[in-house]
Parts: sequence; structure tokens; C-alpha cells
Amino acid sequence: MPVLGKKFRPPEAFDQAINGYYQLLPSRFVRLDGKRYLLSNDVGEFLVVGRGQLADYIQKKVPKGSDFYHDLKSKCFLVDGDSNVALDLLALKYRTKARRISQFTALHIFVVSLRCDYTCRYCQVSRQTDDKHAFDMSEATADKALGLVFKSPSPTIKIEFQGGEPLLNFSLIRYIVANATAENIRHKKNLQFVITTNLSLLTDEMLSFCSSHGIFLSTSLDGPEQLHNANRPRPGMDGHKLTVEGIKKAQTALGRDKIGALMTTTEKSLPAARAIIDAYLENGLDSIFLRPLSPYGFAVKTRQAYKYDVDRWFEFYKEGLDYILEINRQGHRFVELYTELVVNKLLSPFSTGYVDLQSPSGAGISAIVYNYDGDVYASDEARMLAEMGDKAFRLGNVHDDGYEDIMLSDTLLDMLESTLSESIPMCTDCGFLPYCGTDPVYHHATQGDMVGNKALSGFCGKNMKIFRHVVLLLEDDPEARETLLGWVRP
Amino acid sequence: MIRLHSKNNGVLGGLLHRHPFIAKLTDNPGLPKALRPRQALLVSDHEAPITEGFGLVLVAHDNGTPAVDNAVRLAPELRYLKGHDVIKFSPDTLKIDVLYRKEANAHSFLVTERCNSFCIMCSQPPRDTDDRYLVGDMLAALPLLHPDTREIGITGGEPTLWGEDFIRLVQASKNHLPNTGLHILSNGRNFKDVSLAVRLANVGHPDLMVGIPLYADYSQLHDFIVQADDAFDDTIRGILNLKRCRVPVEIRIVIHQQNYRRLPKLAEFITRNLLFVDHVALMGLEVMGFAKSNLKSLWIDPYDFRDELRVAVQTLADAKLRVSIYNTPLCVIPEPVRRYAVRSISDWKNDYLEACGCCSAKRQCGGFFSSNLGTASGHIKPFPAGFVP
Amino acid sequence: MGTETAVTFDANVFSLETVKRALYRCSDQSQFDITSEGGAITVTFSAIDPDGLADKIRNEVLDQDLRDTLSKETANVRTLILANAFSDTGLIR
Repeated sequence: MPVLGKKFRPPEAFDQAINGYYQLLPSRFVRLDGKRYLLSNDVGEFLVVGRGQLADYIQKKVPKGSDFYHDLKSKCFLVDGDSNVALDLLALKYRTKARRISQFTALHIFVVSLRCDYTCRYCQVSRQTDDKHAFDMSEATADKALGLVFKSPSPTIKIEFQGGEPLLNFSLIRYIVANATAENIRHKKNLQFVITTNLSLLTDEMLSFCSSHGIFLSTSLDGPEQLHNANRPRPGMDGHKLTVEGIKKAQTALGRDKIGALMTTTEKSLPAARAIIDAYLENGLDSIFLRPLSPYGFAVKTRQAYKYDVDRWFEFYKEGLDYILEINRQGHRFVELYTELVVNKLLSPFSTGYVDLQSPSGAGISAIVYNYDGDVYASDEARMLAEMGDKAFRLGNVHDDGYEDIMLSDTLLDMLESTLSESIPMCTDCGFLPYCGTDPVYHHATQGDMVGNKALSGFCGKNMKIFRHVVLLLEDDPEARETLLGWVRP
Repeated sequence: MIRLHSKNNGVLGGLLHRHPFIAKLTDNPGLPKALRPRQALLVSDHEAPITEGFGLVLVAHDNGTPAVDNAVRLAPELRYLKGHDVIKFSPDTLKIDVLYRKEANAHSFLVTERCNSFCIMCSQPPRDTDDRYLVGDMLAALPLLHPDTREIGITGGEPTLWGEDFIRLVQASKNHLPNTGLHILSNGRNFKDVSLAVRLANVGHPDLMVGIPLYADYSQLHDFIVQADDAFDDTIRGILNLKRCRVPVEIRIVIHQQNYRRLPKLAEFITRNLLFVDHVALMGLEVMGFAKSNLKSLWIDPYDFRDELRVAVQTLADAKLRVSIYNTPLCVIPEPVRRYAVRSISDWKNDYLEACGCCSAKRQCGGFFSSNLGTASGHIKPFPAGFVP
Repeated sequence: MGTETAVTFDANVFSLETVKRALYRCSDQSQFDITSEGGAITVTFSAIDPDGLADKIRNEVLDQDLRDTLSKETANVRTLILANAFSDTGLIR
């Protein structure tokens, strides 16, 4: 109790809340472990609370003047008779978060060729053929697609070249980069280019082109030589050697920050988390994305996607993340990209633009795909599904449809409408909702409808496990917390 | 400590002023005659020539009496004054107030002592008095300030209580000193009325900042500290309104016994709710005014809130907010956040302990308020020679 | 699929809607029959670990009850906040 002069009134005199009465503000919760829950609100503020605290909060029994009361108030979980500015703040924050939707489509994927020099078993789209014209994008198609790219209101435009193996059609990449750069003089967008490539066909000439246009390279490295070559067979079985050489060449010619690698998880990867991460370290890479295998493309046909379930993948992820945190503790910064995304979702007041974790679905809003034949899809997964014969998510074709036709197509609007997590059973009152998203293509592919029963959903199962794990690391492991906080990008 | 006021001045000859006289000082006796009536000639030694026609002659030595009108013997404690400084001379009391020192590191105009808050640690306790003359003083002084002045401040009391006159002060600052920054200290509450924020923004001052205190992350504590119901809500709404009008805002957090514990949560609150502010200053307590009389309830050794300070600064800096630590000696700031410390104390009330004499970081260190020397941290420790903080 | 087990809830304490929502969350573990009569809501199911699932259902119903209170009590204020958020206030563009 403060000792103040007579002119001053004590703290109690400034509490205008009558009898400690408060009003609940919109919030949700989800169980973290046997004792604790995550309580969150629409704008992503959260508290980790015990079962008793949770019940007290909802039954309005939290004692006034307690730290818990003030924490709830400070994070906009309640308003009382003393203050209602939380309503203004929530509205403002909701608006900030929603801003993403009005600046849609930052990522534009150009599938410049479906041809590939690899024969990966899990490959989702590629074709083995000598007939260039059947599976390469034409200049005419590229022109039409570029016209659509610059209609997008997003201030940042990223053009990603995909395949097959896009380097097989490098002349078209040159063509698109030159035309997009010229067009952008007028539009003044923040324009970036990425080539997703296996690097085996990378020449010095291509590198110097990439260097002069600031182009990023993204490649696939599945781990040590044996695993990589088993996952990603190339006639001659020299895939690993070519990839590693390509990474080194690109690091030298473009700079280390201009080349990144992605891995795909197969059954063979599951026992090898540490070895895979070591392979990334050995090759001078600063991050890894421990990806689950997606249920599309050849992966479904060969039943690869069902060979291991979410639990087994999660053990793999956890082992990998533990090892990565250990590496960071030892003084080397190395980032797991999905965890980084989740930590940012939890701790940054801004929305992050990752396509798979958004509500409404990021499809079309965050990314759009122009296939080699001019067909337009709402996401890369949607186009993979199409290559398997299911064109449910085809939005149109660049030769037949204008920008408005595509962005206002029934396919896209239905997709967005049915993927607002706020209206999906189980999602609607899940504490992870503000950080999670919906994946209509995944649920269409696995359950035959875009929404799906989340109790049966591998997407939900995987994300719940990851969210729980990351939140508990932040809560319980001070060293891990420090590393993870270092991954937040405001 | 430098004295900014003194009545210890003597009349030397026919004093023709009936009203207070605000003038710029000059040491140039040859100034064109037409300019002299509105300036004060500063005479530093008895050999310096004295010419006729100045509005005031300030004799800054004790030898002889000049045979001119309006001559005044300057109080010894004000003899640091120089050309370009601005003073106010009150003929009835012989008081001289120093309104502006060109050499100072900060130039603030107190424009009222009235306030709608009553902060328990206020260093300038509010007085309910009619002090409109302070507005006139500032308006009179502004045209006299040197155009190279980097920044001036408007402080109180609560300057916005003047309403339209407050806007007039900002407008005059912009008109007379277009290249000078303007820093306003306000509790922000009156900006809950968006029209005041709009009027301030419409002045179009090119380099304006409103410094607004926020002492807690929830209303009850903030309202207690400023001793005013609804102050938290008013201040937050004020900040939102100012930012809505694109007026730069600085959040100022004075740290003391009543609020240090939740400092990390306040930092988090700011990153979540007020990320668009332009600067956050975490400030040590100035032991003056109410802070002195309430010291028992307010004082905490900065060493004892070092963890809270470190976490708060890191939270703010990680969110890419511009953050500074004011009024706290370097040696009690935890090393990881020491680089955010700023030499913030106005030179006239800035001092160091005897122990600081041998400190190798003294030049980089903000030191102490003169009034705080008696209550310094128990953990002041000079940095050894060669140490780079 | 194991033995048939029943879990009963007092209909004066828990609404049928609450029980149904809770069971949806368990729909990966079994299929449920729900009956409501004489002030009791009875859930019947078969499972390999019936006791474990019964505990899970009881916990989910308790949680769901809190969830339903929370969403009922905050529905109006959520609408208010959203209306406020998307009215053209011009705040930080």
C-alpha cells in the first residue's frame, strides 16, 4: 500500500469497475496438455492458462486486482466499468490483420515446363518427354499471364518459375523476366523472381543472368547422398552430386542469401532427421523446411502419402526441431521455416503471407498459378490435382478469361466462402484459429469436400500438434524461447 | 546546475519599462540604432563600450555605473548569458527569466502550470493559476530565437488546455522557426477529441512530435498514477487520433516503484496495440516536486528493475520500434540494452557523482538529475579505464 | 471394435447442442448414438479403450460447455467490434 501525500487518492479510488464485474470479449481456447489451455482472441493475442483459471475467466470469477485479471484486461480478453478502450483497439487490430485480403495475390507461379530430367517417385506433376511443345509454356501464354500479374493490387509481386524443371525452358524465363521488369517501370511494385530448380542443368550463363536480375534460386535437397538419390532418382543416379555442386556454385555466384533448399519427407526420411539437417549445415544452408509429404500427384498414385501418418511425421519434426534448437544453442543460427512461420503467427501482430495457413484460404489471395497450357489455378496443389485429372480448382485460362473472370470465378468465390475458419465446425471455437488456416484443396483431395471433418483431417492433426509443441516450448523452455524469439520478423 | 531565474539584479539608472520586457541579448554595441530598442546589450567587462538606445543594458561586471537609461546590474549567477540568448525582464521585481540559451542542449517553453492530471511523481506540480501570460511570453520569444536552433519544446502543465492558443503556439513555432523541430509534452487526453488532433495536424508543422506518457498496460494502474479517472482510455484514444492524423507520437514511460513490475507487459501492450508510434522512451524518475514528497512510494533503485528494463527494451526493439532509455546512468543499465541509453537530461540540471570522476564512460553517460544526486542508485560503479560501454 | 459403453449427462446442466459439439471433436475415435429422455442425455459407443474415450468425452463436454458460454456471451460484442473495424475510420492505412 503506497504511502502518498494527503492530496493523493489510493489505487482503489481509481477502480470504477463495480464489484469487480467484467464483460467477456470474444475469445477461444484449446487444450495444450493435461493441465493447460491456450486462450486466444480474434487478433491473435494469447495467454497460457490453467483449467481453473479458464473456468474462472468464463464464469467471471477472476478476482479484481489480481495479476491474472490485469493480464486478461491488458490482452483484450475483458472489459470492465473502468475502461472500454479495448473495443477500439480490437477493431483497429482486426483491421490491420485484414489488410492482407485487400492487397491480394503477391505470389505468381509460372509453370514454364512440365518436362523434367528426374524420375522422382513422389513427384506430383512432372513429365518425361522429348516433345517440347506439348509441355512447355509459350511466349503467347506468358504474355497473357503477365498481363494478369500486374492487375493484382499487391504492392509486392513475386514471380516463381516452377516445373517440371523450369531450366529446361530457360529462354522463356529470360523472356518473362525481361518483360516483367520492363512492365514494372510503370507499376513500381516490389518485384522479385524465384526459380524452383533441381540445379542439374544450371550453367554459368544462367547464373550470370540470375545475378544481374537479383533472381533467387530454390532447390530440393532431401538429405545425405543415399537418401537424396533414393528419393529423387535421376538417370545416372548423380542427382545429389549435381545438386550439391549447384548449391555451391549458386552461393558463390549469387550470394548465400540467394539460394535456399526445400526437402520432401518420405518414409525413408523419417529415421534420418539429424542426418538431413546435417546435410543442410554441411552445404552452408541457413534454414530448412521440414515438410510433410502432400497427398497430391504421383504421391497419391503410388500411395506414398499414406505410408506414414501424422504421428510418425510429427515425431520426425520434433526430433528435427530439437536438433535445430540445439544447433542454435551452440551458437549457430539455423531456422526451421515452418516453426518460424508459426512463431511469427503467434507473436507478430501482422498477418504472414504463407498460403497454407490462412483464413479465408490463401488460394488465389496469396498465390495464383499459371500452368504451362495457360490454365489458371488457385494454388500449386490445385494444379497438381489437375495433373491427376481433377480440375475442380481450375479458375480459367489466360487465353479465354480476363482478370475479373478469374478472380470472380464461382470456383474461387466458393472456395473462399467455404474456407472462412470462423464458420467451420471445430475451427470456429478453436484457440489456434487466429494462427491457423484452411486448405480447401487438401480436404477436397482427402475427404472429397473443401471443408472436411477436422477430427479426421491430417491438416488439422498436424497443425494442432505443431502449435501445441511450439507454444509449450515458448512457455516451458527458456533457452528454446530465446532462439524462437530471434526468429520473429516484425 | 545552472540557474534560469534570478531576482538578484540591481537597477543602475533610469528604468523606463513599466511592463515585462522580452529581448534577445547582443554583445554588439554598434548595432544599427533602429534595432536597439528591442534588444538587450550584454556588457561583459568594464572596458567594453556602451552605446545609447538599447531596450536594456545588462551589466555583467561589478565595476562602474554606465550613464545610460535602462541599465541593470546582472545577477552573478546569470553571468553565463551570451549574445543570442533570450530573457524576460520584469521591472517591478527586477526578476530575469532566461527563456532561451543558444548553447543549451534543450529549449523548452513551459506554457502553463495548470493540468488535468495530478501525477504522483510530477516533477512540475500543477498549480491552478491564471498563467496565460506564459503563452504571450512564448509568442514574444519565438521570433527572437536563433534560426539554427535544432529543436524547441512546449511543456506544462498540460499545454493543450489552452485549446486554440495551443494551436497558435504550434503555428507560430512553424512560422518563425521553419527549420526547427517542435517537441510537445502532453498527457494526450484532450486529443480524444479528434478535432483537436485534426487542428494540430492542419498546422502542417514539418518536424513535430507529441510526447505522451503511458504508465501501465491497464486502466486502473495508469489512472491511479496520474490520479485521474478515465485517463488511460482518453490517452489511448488521443494517441490513436493523433496517429490517424499522421502526427508523430512518442510514448514516455516514467519507471518507479508503482509500475516497474509490469514494464515488460506494458512493452508487449505497446507492440500489440500501438506499434505505429514513432518512439518509446523509458525514463528514470526525476526527484523533484511530487516525486520528492512521495519518494517512499516511488523510489526504486534502477539496479532493482534492470531485468524488467532489459525485457521491455528488447520487446520494443524486436518489434522494430525506436526505443530510448532516458535519465539512467550507463552503469546500472544491463549491458544488452545499454546501447539504447541517451544523454537526455537538460544541461542546466545535469550532474554526476564524485565517484563518476574516474569513470571512462562519463562522456557517453547521461549522468543524473541534479536533484537526484541524493538518491542515486546504490550500484553506481565507474567503468575502468579503456572500457567501451 | 470393443464393448458398448454409455456416458450420461444431466440435461439440466449440459445442452444437447453442447454434447453434440463435443462428440464431433471425438469423431475420429468412434461413432456415437445420442438419446435424450427423462432429463438425461446418453451417449453410446464402442471403442477399444472405452474408459479412455469416456473420460475424453466428459472432458470435451466440460470444455465445450465453457466454449458455448463464451461464444454466447460474446456474440454481440464481436459484431460490434467487426462493424467498428470495417467502418471507414481511416485508422492506419
